Amino acid sequence: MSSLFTYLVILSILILFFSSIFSLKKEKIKYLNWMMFLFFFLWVTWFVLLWKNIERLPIRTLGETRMWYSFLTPLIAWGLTIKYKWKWIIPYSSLISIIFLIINLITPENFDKELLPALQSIWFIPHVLVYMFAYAMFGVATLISIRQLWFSKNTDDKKYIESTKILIYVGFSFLTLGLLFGAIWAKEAWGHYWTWDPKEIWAMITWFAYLLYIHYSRLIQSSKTNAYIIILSFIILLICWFGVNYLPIANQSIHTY
Amino acid sequence: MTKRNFYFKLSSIVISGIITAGFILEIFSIKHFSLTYPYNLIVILVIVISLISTRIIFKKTFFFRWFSSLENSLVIIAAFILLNLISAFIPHQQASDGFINKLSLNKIINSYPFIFTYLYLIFTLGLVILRRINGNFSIRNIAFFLNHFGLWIILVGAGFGSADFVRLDMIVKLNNTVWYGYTEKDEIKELPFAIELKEFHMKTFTPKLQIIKVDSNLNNFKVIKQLQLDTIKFIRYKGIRIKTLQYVPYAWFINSDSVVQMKAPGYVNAAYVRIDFGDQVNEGWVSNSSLMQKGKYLPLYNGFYLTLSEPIPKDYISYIKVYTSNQEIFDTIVKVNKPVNVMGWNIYQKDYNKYLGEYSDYSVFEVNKDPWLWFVYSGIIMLAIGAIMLIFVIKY
Repeated sequence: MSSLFTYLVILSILILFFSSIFSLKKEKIKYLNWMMFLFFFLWVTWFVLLWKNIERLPIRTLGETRMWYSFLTPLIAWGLTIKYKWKWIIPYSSLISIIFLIINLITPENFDKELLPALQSIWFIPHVLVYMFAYAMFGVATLISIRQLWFSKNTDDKKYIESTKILIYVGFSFLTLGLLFGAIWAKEAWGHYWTWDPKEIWAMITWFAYLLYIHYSRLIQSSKTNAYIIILSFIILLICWFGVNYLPIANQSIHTY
Repeated sequence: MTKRNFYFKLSSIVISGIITAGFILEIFSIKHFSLTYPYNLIVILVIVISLISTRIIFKKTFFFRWFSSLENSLVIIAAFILLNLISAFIPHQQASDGFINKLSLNKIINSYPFIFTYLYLIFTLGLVILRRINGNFSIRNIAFFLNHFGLWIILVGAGFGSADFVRLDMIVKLNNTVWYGYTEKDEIKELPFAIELKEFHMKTFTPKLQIIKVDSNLNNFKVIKQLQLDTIKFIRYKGIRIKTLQYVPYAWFINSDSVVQMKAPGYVNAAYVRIDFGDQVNEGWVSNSSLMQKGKYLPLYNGFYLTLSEPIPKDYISYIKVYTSNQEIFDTIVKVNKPVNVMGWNIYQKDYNKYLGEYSDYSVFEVNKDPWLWFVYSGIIMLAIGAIMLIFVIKY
C-alpha cells in the first residue's frame, strides 16, 4: 500500500501542476475539468482500495486526515473557479494540497488495521468526515483572505467577501455537526458528552472563533478585519488539528491519534 | 463617538470589570459552591423570568438595546474565547507557579471569572433570542431561533446541570456481585442495582513487527517503523530484508529457540524471522513481553532492534447479570460504545486488569446518571437542525 501511495502522490502532483497551468488560461478550462475529474476518480479509487485493505475507513491517523484534506481542497477550489472565474485559486489550493501530500510522503503511514474499541462506533465516520469537509472549506476561505489582504490590488472586491462568506457558513454548518456528533459519541464511548479534554477545548475555541467571524461580518460587511479573523481562526483550527499534540496540556488528552 | 464604538467600549469595560471581579474573588479564595437540584432549577427559572420581564418592561430602554446588540455579543464571544484559551494552554493540575494557582488559571473552568463570563453569555444570548421573537416565521427566523436557543439550552443544561451529574467507578471481580461504586474522592455510594460479572472476553489485533531505536536500555525506545504481521510478509529497511517465517500466538519459550503454544495467562506472541543483511543472514525469534516472559529482540545494527509490539485490544466485553431493587434479574453484555441503561443509570465498560489482558480477573464499569441529559440533547438537536439550515440562509 505504501508504494502505491507514493505513485498516487506523484500522479496527483502532476495533475495539480497541469490543472494550475490550465486554470490560468480561459480557453483551457475544459482541460482543467478533465484533470479534476481524473483527480477525483483517482482518489476515490485509492480510498476504496485502502478501505478494503485495512478493513476500516482511512480516517484514524493525522496522516490519513491530511489525505482527505489534500483531496477535498482542490475540488472546492475547482467549484470556485467555475463560479467566480478565478485563475489564481487552483494554483493556491494545489500548493496547499501538494505540501500536505509531501508531508505524508516524508512521514510514511503504516496503514494498519488497528481500531481501538472506543473508535468502533457508527459516529466515527460522520464525525471525522464532516470535520474534514469543514476544515477544507475553511482552508480555502483562508487562502482567499490571504490573497485579498496581501496579494490583491482591489481589497474590497465583492467576490472575496461573498466567496469567503459562503465557504465559512457552509464550513461552520459542518463544523457544528462535527462537534455535536462528537459530543453524542463521547457520551456513548466515554460516559459524558463534554470532559474538557484538550482537543475538546480547542475544538470549542475554533467553533467560537468562526462564530465571531459570522457575527462580525453581519455587523460590518466589507472590512479587512473579517479577513484577519478568518486567518486567525484557521491558525486556531490548525492548533486543534495538529498543534494540540505539542502543547504542555497534551498529556491530559484521550484524543491522541 | 459613533453608537457602534460606544457599544463596543461599554461592553468591553463591563466584561473586563466582571472578569477582574472574578479574579479578585479567586485571590481572596472565596469558597466555591455548586448548585444541585432543585436549586439549579430555581436559578434557571429566575434567569428565564428576569430575561422575559426585561424584554417586556425594559424593551425600549438603552440597556436592552445595548445588551442585546451585535456589538455586545461580539465582545462576550471574544471574552469567552480568551478565557477558554487559558484552559487550552495551562495544564489542569497544581502548577509550580504560585501566580497560576492563586488566580486559579489551572482550573479556570471552575473559577469565578469563567462563571461570571458564562452567566453574561447566557443573559446576552437570552435577550438576543427574545429580541428576535416577533411572530414572523420566516426560514431565516426559524434558523436563527434554532441556532441561538439550541445553544442557550446546551449551555444552560451543561453548566447548571453539571452539579447533578453523578459518576461512579464499579470494580467487579469475576463471579462476584457488587452493588456500590466509588466516587472520584473514593467515597463509597450505594446503587439501586447490583452487577455480577459472569465472564470477561477480550480480543486483540495481531501484533506488529517493529523496528525500534534503543536509547539506554531496552525499555526506553522509539518506534521507527511498524508493520502489520498478517498483511505483510516481508519488508525492506535500509538495505536489510526482513521476512516473517512463522507466527505463534499464545507462545511460551522453553529455551531461547524452542516455543510451545498454550492458552494461559502470561503468554506472549512470537514470530520467527529471517533478517537478510546482504552479506549475512540471521534467523531468530522476536516477541513482546508479559508478566511471565521477557520480550525477545533481534539486533539489526547499532542501537536498532527488531521486536513485536504489545497487542492492542480490539474488543472487550463483560457478560453480566443485573439484579435491580425492583426484583428484576437479567443477563446482558457491556462493551465500549455499547453502554447499558439500568434504572436511569448508564453502565459503561471502562477498564480491566491490563496485566492479565484477556485473562483479566475483574472488570471496571463506570456508572453515571445525568438527569439533565434530555435537556442538553434537545438543545443539540435544535442546534444541529439550525446548523443545516444555516447553509440555506446565507445573505450578502
